[in-house]
Amino acid sequence: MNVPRAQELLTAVSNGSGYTGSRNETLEMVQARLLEPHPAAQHDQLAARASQLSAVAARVRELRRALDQAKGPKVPTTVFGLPPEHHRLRAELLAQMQQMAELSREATVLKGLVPDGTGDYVLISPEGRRVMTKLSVWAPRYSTAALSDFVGALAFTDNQLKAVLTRASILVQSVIAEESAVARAWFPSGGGGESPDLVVDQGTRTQARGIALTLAKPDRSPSDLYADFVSTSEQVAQLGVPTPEVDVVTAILMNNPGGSAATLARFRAVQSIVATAMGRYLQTSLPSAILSDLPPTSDGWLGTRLSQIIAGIPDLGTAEYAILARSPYQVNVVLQRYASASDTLRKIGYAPDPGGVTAAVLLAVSPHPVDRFLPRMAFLDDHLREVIASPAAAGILAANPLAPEEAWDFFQGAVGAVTRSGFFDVTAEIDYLALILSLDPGPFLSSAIPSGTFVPGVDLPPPASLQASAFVAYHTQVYPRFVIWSAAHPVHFHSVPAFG
Amino acid sequence: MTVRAKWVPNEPANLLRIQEGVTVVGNSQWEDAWTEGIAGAYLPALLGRLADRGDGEPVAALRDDNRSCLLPDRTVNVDDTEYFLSVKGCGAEFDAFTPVKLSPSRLRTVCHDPRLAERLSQEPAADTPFIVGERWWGYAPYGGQAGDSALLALLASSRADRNQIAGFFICPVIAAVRLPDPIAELASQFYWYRRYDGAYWQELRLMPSNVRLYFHSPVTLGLDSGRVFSLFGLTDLATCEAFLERLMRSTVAAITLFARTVRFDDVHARFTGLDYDEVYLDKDAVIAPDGTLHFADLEGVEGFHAAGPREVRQRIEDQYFHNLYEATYAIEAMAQETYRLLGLTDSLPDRHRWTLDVLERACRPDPYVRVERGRDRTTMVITPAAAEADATVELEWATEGAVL
Repeated sequence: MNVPRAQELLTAVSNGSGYTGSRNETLEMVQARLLEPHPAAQHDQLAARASQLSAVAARVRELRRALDQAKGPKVPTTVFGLPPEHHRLRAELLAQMQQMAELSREATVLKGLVPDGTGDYVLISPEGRRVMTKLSVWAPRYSTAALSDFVGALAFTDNQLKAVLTRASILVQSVIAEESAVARAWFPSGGGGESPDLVVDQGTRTQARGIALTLAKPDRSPSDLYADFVSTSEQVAQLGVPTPEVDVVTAILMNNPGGSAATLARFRAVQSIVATAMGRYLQTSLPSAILSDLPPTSDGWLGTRLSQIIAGIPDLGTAEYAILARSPYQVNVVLQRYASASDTLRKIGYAPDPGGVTAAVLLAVSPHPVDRFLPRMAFLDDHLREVIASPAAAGILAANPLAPEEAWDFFQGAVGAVTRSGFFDVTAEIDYLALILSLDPGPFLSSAIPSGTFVPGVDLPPPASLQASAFVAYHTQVYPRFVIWSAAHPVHFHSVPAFG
Repeated sequence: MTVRAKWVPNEPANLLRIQEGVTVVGNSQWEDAWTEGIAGAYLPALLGRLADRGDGEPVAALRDDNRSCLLPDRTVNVDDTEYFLSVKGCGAEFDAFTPVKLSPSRLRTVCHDPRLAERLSQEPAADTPFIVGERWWGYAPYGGQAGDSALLALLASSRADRNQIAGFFICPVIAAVRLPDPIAELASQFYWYRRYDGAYWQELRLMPSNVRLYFHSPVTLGLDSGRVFSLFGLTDLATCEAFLERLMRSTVAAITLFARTVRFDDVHARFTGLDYDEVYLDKDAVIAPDGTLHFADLEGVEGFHAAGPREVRQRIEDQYFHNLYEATYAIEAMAQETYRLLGLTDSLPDRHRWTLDVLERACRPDPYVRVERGRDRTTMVITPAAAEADATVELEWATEGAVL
């Protein structure tokens, strides 16, 4: 059965009518656990049982009213305690409640049964509902695929996300210890006007979880990852990387397919090119990390390319220049695309502040044509704005190669995976961590789905992912929003805080 | 299967349990809970030391609110639900006028007895809760509890059938205890502006969790729904739906409390039912691990008098709408988090339909509330326990078109 047919049949069952599946189609969906079969005899039994529900519910209500009469706004003054009759009624009520719960469950099943055309019935399962919901987003991409491929792709994504979260859960305590040391160095006690508790404690823990998630993406054992992390971060620190950026740079280098040792050498080489081209010798770490997967052959033209982009777009941050330079487009195309992206951000209401600029940069280097910038960014910003108050977050999702509805759905899947894994301290950080999983959905998607086509431009290796650029964008423009996050909804007004 | 009580960690507090000299007004329904392991009053450890109560038993507790503590290892079962002991009035954590925690050095600044001040100077420098003799809100000692408040809470609990009043679940007060006079005299030596000269009481109550709806807990359903799901083991649609059903059933009971408790009072020829006085669902209710909302601050659950059926109807409507926002907030928080847990793109119409289905099921056994789902709106038909014929009202739960 192909995907469109499966969608049609699941929708029919969900709507309670119009199911036209053949015997084989029904069997296939039952085997995939999307439908549950119910023979006609079972339907009749359920119908008979469910018909008792209203009588049992009426008896429950009657018993409760009778029992409630024994207690009320008045406290009996003469007899403290309850008469024996009360206990008898109470026992009957408990029994009736149990029966009602079972009948209620059966009535719900009965309500969902749909004739399958052979005299028997089918019921959509919770998994069937989930698949149907997913199909409402992904069906166009899978229009010629088999249902089994789609179900397999969903399972693949779930398993990949779960595996990363499991590895990250093992790694995180070690990373928290590292990050706490960084935070202490970054926010010495007594300094600054912000709450040191919030910044160092929750902020640091969330940062550590983000690092752990990034480290855990490659399929390596957590002990190997941690050993590599300690060793690489020590070397990164010796290269003059500012303390707060050491773990971020380390995580990016370790995600490079070339491995951290080779990437470290490239990182050093790129650092000097970046410093010369940008003239900012103290801000080379994040841009060099972004560019560190470029081969040595790029050393000849990278400096020139950076200088041309800087001349064309003055006053950007060093990371933003690196993101633009890492794109697969010719310089003149990069400049045009950035202008269009900036215009997009302006049209949806963002000022050219750092978050908006980062979002524009990500859109500019995305694989999408400029006429898609506005609909993509508008859709994702509309959904994400209430969750993460930085346009850079929507820019990250808008830059990935999926359709905007798919990107949002993938992000929701990541939110669910983080929630189910318990890999968070406070609910507000779940979306931030899910965004890290969504920086580059490619590795989490089954090979049945194309990862997107990049436009050939200059002599660069095809960027397998935007992960390094997006992770730096996350670190500089999205994560700080979490640190200043305020845990309050403005409408709850009548409390007397702290003195209950 | 027993639903185990659950709590989220909070600041630890050192208490001292004393029994000698304590006056107890117990709830006869809970005599079985007044065990050797629970009976007594619970003092902040520092107050116990200053009062030379060497006979006390040190007790490790967790803070809950500014003047309450939980004792999670002292539990009582009601049917299949486990509750832990909570003591209200066992010391304030914070200075009343400065956002810092109380400590021996800070207490010295408000101590009006030089001998006690001298003893405080020998105490180690550490945060410590304390019952202070400052008259707070006009009627209560700061960090403690006034007698009338404790007894009102006990009275409300006496109206219950163990842990519920006509389907309205409560955190029952098993006893109100009065602290010995020497301790009251000692506490009254500490005040900022206005000295409290009354008796010092505590409420000993039972709670199924310390997760509140929105305020006053380290973790609340409204703000930290993801953590609540982890804590309560909500991992799939089935467990979430069962939780939501209990949450809805108990929340609907809470917003219709007056209707379900109203009675005709022959003596005064009027109707009386229970209402809320300065207590609110968002800060004064906790959620049990199975989803059942329990009202915790019973001192504000009091009788309201209505002259006739018209006033009964009006009070039902007022109580319903005063509390409906918080009830809906809880249900929405639960539903939204369920969609997030399942990793599904949120769909408001879907979520709305789902919650209305669950609401209908949740109210099926309720003798006072019937859910009516029309084409344009969903309403609740509320039939009170008295004056059914004249005081039944139909109130809107949701306007279908407004959300869809």
